[in-house]
Amino acid sequence: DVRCATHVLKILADAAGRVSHVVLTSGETLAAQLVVCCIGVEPTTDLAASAGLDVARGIVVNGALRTSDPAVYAAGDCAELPGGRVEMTWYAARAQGECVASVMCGETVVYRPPFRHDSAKFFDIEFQSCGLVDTSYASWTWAPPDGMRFVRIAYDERTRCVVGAHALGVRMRQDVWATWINEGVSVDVVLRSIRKACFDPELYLTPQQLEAAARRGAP
Amino acid sequence: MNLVQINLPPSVDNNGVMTSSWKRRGAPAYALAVLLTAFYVMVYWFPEKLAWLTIVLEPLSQWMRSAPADHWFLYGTLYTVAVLVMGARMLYRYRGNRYQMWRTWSVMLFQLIAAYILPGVFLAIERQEFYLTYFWPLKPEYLLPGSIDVMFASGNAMLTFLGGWTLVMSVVAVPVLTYFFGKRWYCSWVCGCGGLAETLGDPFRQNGSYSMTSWKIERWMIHGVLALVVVLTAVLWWAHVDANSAVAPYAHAMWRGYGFVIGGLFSGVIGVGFYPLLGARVWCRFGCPMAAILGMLQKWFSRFRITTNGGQCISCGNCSAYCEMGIDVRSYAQRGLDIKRASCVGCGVCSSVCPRGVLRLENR
Repeated sequence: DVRCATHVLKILADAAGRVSHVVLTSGETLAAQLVVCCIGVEPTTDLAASAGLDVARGIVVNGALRTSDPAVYAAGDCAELPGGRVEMTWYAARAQGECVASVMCGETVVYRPPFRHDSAKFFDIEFQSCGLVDTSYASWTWAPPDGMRFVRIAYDERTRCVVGAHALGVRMRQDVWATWINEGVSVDVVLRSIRKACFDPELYLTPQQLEAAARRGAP
Repeated sequence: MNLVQINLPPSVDNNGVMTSSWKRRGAPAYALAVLLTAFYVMVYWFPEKLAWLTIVLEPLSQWMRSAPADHWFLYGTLYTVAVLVMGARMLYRYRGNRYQMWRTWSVMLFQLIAAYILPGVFLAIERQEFYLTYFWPLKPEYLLPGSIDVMFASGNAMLTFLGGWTLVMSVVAVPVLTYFFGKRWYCSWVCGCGGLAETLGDPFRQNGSYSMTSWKIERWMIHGVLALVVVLTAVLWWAHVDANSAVAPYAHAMWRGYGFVIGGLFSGVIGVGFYPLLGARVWCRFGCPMAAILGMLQKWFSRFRITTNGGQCISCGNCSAYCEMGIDVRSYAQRGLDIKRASCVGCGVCSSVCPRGVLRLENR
């Protein structure tokens, strides 16, 4: 249930001070027990602007992450890459930092975005996401009844190549997924060898449970 | 109406650790260190001062070991109680982590059964205490002429078995198990010193230094103690075989000296007394000759390592902060390198406290 072209006007509390309703600018009121705010990332550009650098959405850089002043570089979520792209993840920031260091050391390098991957921890639940995970792709999902873990593998319906994956409460190996996605491995092969991608600690049951589910329920 | 149901998995909570005066060398930590040190000084050198406590354990000692309680029984009892009580705390604290649960149960049961009940049973049956979980060189006497003679020359089946056990464990099991599992099979799953460090010492694990200087001191000291034990063992056997040899007059004094400085002062008074100030693994890290041998095997002849998951490290430093062996885990994780260090006891806490799940202990 996605509401477009409207904003949150206010959040109402019940007598105990807990969130109860969200009022939208469209006039609608929705009952709520939990409000999750996603406000995106807005680069801080004041310093760069006052120094006379080109600034748009972020600090404008070229393919080698140089700003409009060739002696100044910008890397991380303040930098606006050619094409107007701002990369907001830690992994991209790290890769940009490595690139800037190489350029400063005199190497001729063009920044290439790393494999699309992100991980975080929300409410003590670890979360990983890699590749393309749009809902338009076909998917294989695993949601054991404990409600603590979830895996979704996205693949192209026609070619059956995997394109991305989500994991909640399950640890996945970044390099294995990068290989599978970059090489366009078939979802059938991925499900057969899903254990290779598991990174949960020893003695955890997740890898064999996930493997059993993958063998049982291949799409 | 319940729109959202959130079941939070129990995860390791380190809030407030770095500002706690108990856990970060405040006044209470110093007071506890003085108390622990005083207890060790009394156990080792002034046992008569503990007579009033020892007498309390007399009925238990008679029932369990058919022998009067002495200060070592008092020590063993308190040691075991500490491992069990603080082990229960550890089980609660790491309840969301199966590796930590299994490992904590292991050290608790090894301490209770193999290092407390069975030695008492052996004493009751054979008039000889024996620890199935300590071997040369951590317990040098098990391969020294005195005990080998008692074990093998006795003609007693059980004593001969125990003699064979300690010999086979030292010579065969140590290298084989370390090859497959790393030194953790012993240091953080079986050993009593490790068991105390992992339970009673857990609140203090963040107090070990992880500077490069500490690492250098550590390597000199731990291998120095190992060299000392090897020389001592050789001298005692030489003196035993040839009573007229040049070393024979000094052998006994050397053994006494080692027991006082290494066995008492280092492993006991500093090793445990200074838990709240220097972290729980001071002995394991700087002094234990067994750890030195296991460490060399782990570094050069073992499948064990800690692997890092791609480029996911966010450099938060939790792993280094909570490593009781003072390994700067983060410096490896940041670069995506495997961690293969002689001192790593494989406690797995770096992996448990990592907010991104970057680290994994592996045997391959």
